[in-house]
Amino acid sequence: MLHVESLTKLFAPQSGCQNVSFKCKKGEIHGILGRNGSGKTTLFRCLLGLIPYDEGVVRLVSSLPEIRQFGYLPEERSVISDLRVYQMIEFFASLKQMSQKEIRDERDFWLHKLECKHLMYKRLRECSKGNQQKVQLICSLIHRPDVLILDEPLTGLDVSNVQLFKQIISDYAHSDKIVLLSSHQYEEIEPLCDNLMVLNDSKVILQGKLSDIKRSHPTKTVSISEDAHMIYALQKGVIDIRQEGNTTKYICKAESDAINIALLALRCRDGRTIKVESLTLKDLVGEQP
Amino acid sequence: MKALISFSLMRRLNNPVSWMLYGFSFLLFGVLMFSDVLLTSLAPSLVLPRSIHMNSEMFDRIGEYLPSNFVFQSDPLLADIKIQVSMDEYKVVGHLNAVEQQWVDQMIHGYHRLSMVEKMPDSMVSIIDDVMMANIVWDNEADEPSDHAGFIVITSIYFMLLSFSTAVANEVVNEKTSNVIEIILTSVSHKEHYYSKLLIGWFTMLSQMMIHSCGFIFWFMVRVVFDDGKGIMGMMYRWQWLSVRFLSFDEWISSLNIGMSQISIIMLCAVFLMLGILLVQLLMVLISVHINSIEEAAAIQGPFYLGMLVIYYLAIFINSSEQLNQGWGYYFSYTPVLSMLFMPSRLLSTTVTLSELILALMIASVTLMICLKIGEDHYRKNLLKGSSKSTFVKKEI
Repeated sequence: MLHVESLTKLFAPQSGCQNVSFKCKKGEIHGILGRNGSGKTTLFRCLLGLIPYDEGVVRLVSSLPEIRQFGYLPEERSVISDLRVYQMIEFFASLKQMSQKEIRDERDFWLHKLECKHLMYKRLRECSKGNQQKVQLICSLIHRPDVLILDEPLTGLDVSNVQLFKQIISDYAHSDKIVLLSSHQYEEIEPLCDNLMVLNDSKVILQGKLSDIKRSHPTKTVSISEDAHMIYALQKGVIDIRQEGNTTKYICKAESDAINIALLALRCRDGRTIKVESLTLKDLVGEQP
Repeated sequence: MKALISFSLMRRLNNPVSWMLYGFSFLLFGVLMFSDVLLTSLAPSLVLPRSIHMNSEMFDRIGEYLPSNFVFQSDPLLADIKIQVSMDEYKVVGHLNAVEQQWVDQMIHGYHRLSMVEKMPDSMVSIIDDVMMANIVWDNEADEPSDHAGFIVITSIYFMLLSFSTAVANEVVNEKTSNVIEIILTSVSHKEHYYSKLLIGWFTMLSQMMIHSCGFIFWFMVRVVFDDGKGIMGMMYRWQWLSVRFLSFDEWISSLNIGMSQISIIMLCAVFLMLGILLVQLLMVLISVHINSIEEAAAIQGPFYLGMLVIYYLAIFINSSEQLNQGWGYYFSYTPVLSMLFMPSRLLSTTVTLSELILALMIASVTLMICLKIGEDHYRKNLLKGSSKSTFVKKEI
């Protein structure tokens, strides 16, 4: 179990992270969300011991040696471009003090799992951005850490690779590991996360199990396609309206308000799609696409 | 740390460019070791001595003064150069360059003088000697020539290590700019990273020296088996690179008379050089942590390299025993960084007392220790990109 209590690291007021507390059990994926500069990377760096924190306690119950407890995939691309794929993987594995046999077995396993065995002898500069990201993911989990920290792992991936990464992340967490994940692609990580924490201006503004958060938020949304004129904008209980392509999303104060709008829309449906649902992660975080 | 060092060494030593360099140096050593054989077949005039013919009376008188690039040929038809002596003149036939012409000219003048003197009565010879020869008594207090060979070796190592220091500093810059440093620091502490960078330069230099030495030793052994170096020693003598003709490598090496005192001096020079270069390397690494791009690296390392060149030229200019014993050279031999060249210069060309040696060693060592300690903290604070606002440390979790 990973237990973080009142962790604070401030570079300046509202720069860094303040009073962050959370607990993660084995097998859970913990989403850490927030806008750019909200303090996610600082939090990760503190957990990894890359920077000292001003206050707080970080506790990890682990049977692994200290050097192998954490795995990290940074937000920015971090590859040694003149190396071949297998050399880069072996280098980072050797830093984790893995034996040659362990390295070979794990390398082959993950290259196969991430469908990139054919890249083994290619230089990293010859690999696409997505493939480089796959290699980086392998480097971060080849030693099978208890806590895998993934900072924006889905950035720059195509649809099929996003699915592959999601599958790998989910499988890894289910092998009794903890995954801390940050991403701006809220729709993609929403089905993955068991818990989430939203940071804004270095402070935690929302935290808990995703299902609990959704339950505790009476706010519902009604999505109506081909509603360019936003004709239900003045209906009772509408607190916000968002236009996503040709679909208008009405955010309503209560579920009854959402149902009213949906019923009105159903009367003149004309083949349009009408959807009443709880707030999505993106709505909760309040981030515009 | 072991993984970091071995990875870095592998990258430096095992790449296509390095292999090309090894191949080139191996080939070069082969060519150098057999240069006399190659030149004999490609440009014999450069290697083989010119055959010269003169009458037997002339040879008896001046034969022993024949320079190393001439050999006597008794058959005039086979000789490259012929000196024909007649009643009132000496006729020289053959293709001679300016240097050869000068040599032959001196030989003939010498012979002519000897033969003329022999024909004169003794009283006249004495008068001529008084007129022609001044009696000079030398009371020269000039220095003995200093040991330039030692200085050449030291400065070669100096530049070699400087270039490796630059390479290590660039490695830090590369790791920073590619963000790899962030991942590395999740596995090793900043301290391990810091010390590994300092060690890498040394290991690289030692490994490269070993690799190239292997090539040299291989060709040396081949040459020993071939003719024990007789040919190449002969060629060096003919080109006047050696003043005495040696018949084997063994003979030449034993003539060098390398004793324990020379070995101790070389070892002490190496210690000063090592302490100084470690300090320079440390400064380079510490500067590198502030660099965020290759362009910045060039802008900062260039002037630094120039500074090291200035130290080198200073060491050359202040290389007289007067300067090294009393002048600036004396004070520089105790000054950190500068002592790596000035103390070896003193050791090689003047006498240094034990207390002076210990004092200089202590100053150099203590400075290095202080810089290492301060540098460790500096490195930790500035290694990660954008870390100026905080102190980065590896902590226990």
